[in-house]
Amino acid sequence: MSVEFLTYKKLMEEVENNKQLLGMKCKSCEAVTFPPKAVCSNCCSREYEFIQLSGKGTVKTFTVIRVPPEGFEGEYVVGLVEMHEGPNIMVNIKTDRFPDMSIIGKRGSIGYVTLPSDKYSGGRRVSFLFFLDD
Amino acid sequence: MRQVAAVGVGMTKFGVSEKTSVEMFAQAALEAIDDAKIKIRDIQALFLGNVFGDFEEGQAVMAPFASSYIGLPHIPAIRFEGACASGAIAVRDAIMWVASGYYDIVIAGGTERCSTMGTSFATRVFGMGSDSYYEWPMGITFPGVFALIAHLYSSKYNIPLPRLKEQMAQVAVKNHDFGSKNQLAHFPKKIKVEDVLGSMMIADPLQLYDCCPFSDGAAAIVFTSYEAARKLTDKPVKVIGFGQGSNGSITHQKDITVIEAREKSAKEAYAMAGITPDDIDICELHDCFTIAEIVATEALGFFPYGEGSKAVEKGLTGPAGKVVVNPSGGLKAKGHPIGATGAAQTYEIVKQLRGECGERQVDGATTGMTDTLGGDLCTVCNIIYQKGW
Ligand SMILES: [Zn+2]
Repeated sequence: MSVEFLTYKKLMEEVENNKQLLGMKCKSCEAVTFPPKAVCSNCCSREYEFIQLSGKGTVKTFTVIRVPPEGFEGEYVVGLVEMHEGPNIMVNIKTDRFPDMSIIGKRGSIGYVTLPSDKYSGGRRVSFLFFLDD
Repeated sequence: MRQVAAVGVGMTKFGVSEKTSVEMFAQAALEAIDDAKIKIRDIQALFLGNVFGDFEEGQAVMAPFASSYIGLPHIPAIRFEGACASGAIAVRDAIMWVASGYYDIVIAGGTERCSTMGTSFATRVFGMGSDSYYEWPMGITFPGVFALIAHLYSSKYNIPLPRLKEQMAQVAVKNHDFGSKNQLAHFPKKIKVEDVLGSMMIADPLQLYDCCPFSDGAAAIVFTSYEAARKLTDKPVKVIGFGQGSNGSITHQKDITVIEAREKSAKEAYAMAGITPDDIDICELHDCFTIAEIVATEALGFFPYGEGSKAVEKGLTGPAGKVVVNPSGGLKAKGHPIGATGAAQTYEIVKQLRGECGERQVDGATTGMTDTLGGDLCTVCNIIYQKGW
């Protein structure tokens, strides 16, 4: 039996063409898995469907990167967001000023930008963004 | 399985080295071989931790070059890669092969020469320890990952950030106090809480002195069966338990203040040893960042979740503490040559149990543990040692 994975290629095409984020929903336990795996992250079932995630979530934690790695510039905010459907996603939080602890628990929406390939990445990447609700 | 013991240890000074990775390893290995009072050709296999030799020196397959350099060109020589836990997983495999009865005498260790890369290239290469698809594109760094943990810890346990930062600074001060008594340490100097809180911000809330340095260095250990060990030395150090665990991408981890790979690994090690965390006298644990030490002391069972930071304030991890944590100075002061770190932790535990640590000796230590973490909380390995005499 061949299993159709939610490949990175497919995920990226959906983001770039339709601005939609795909995840996996288990047909057995209904858990949502993101980032994708070969099996349900909750029960290991291989029976799942691809679903469109709402792109909504809540900030769980954050940091401000003051010393960026090669390929990135300036100071920027990285966060972990708990998505409405349950899974976590790592994001760049877009804010006017650098946040303090009060950002934890704030809601917002996920956005996307594409990063070019570098010498080691073996291809382009989607960088996930996060815009806080007002 | 057979009982296994460490019979000889060796370690280079950590810092910036003019020696190659293979040369550093050879220095540590020959010291360990002499310490074990065995002949080079007694060794049947080499287990070598090395992470980024490919990028640091353009050198893959480091292990056979290392075994050849010490006069063992034909033995099986295997490189282990588990990011910063590489040395530890090499040690664990070496122990298992002797325990199985397949080998009688082996050498394990690690070597790393981070300094050749320069800061900018090093940040790209170290980024390869993150999930290349779902973490790296957001520009996360290793300090960044532990900064995410620190903010979550503050929020989850309702510890105001300024207080947590003070507690984290106390971890750095403690480890530099220990490190000042270790001549092999990268930075053998004392620091103050004000030094930490006044240092450059790296990834909020982590400042420069919350972070360990990347270092060059190597360490090695000779393991034999306990039976053989008793003939070789008056002071064999027994391996009484070990464990290892893994995690996927950070996003798949429910709560990054609770590193499940470590809970699983430590539980395995305690069960095999038939002891509890209260029985551990000394622990060399993975303090790559100050908050990393705090969360490690919790997952290892020394303190309840949320109490690790208070334990530092109370001195419970210091020289007179309930468990003496990082008597070598830890990654923080001793340094962090990533592929060698797990082996260097083993070196310290063996030396401590044998009572050979001079000024930083923890009196009466009979049981010690190593704890090594690799990647974005991806690999954890724990090994428990006991005085075997
Ligand atoms: Zn399921």
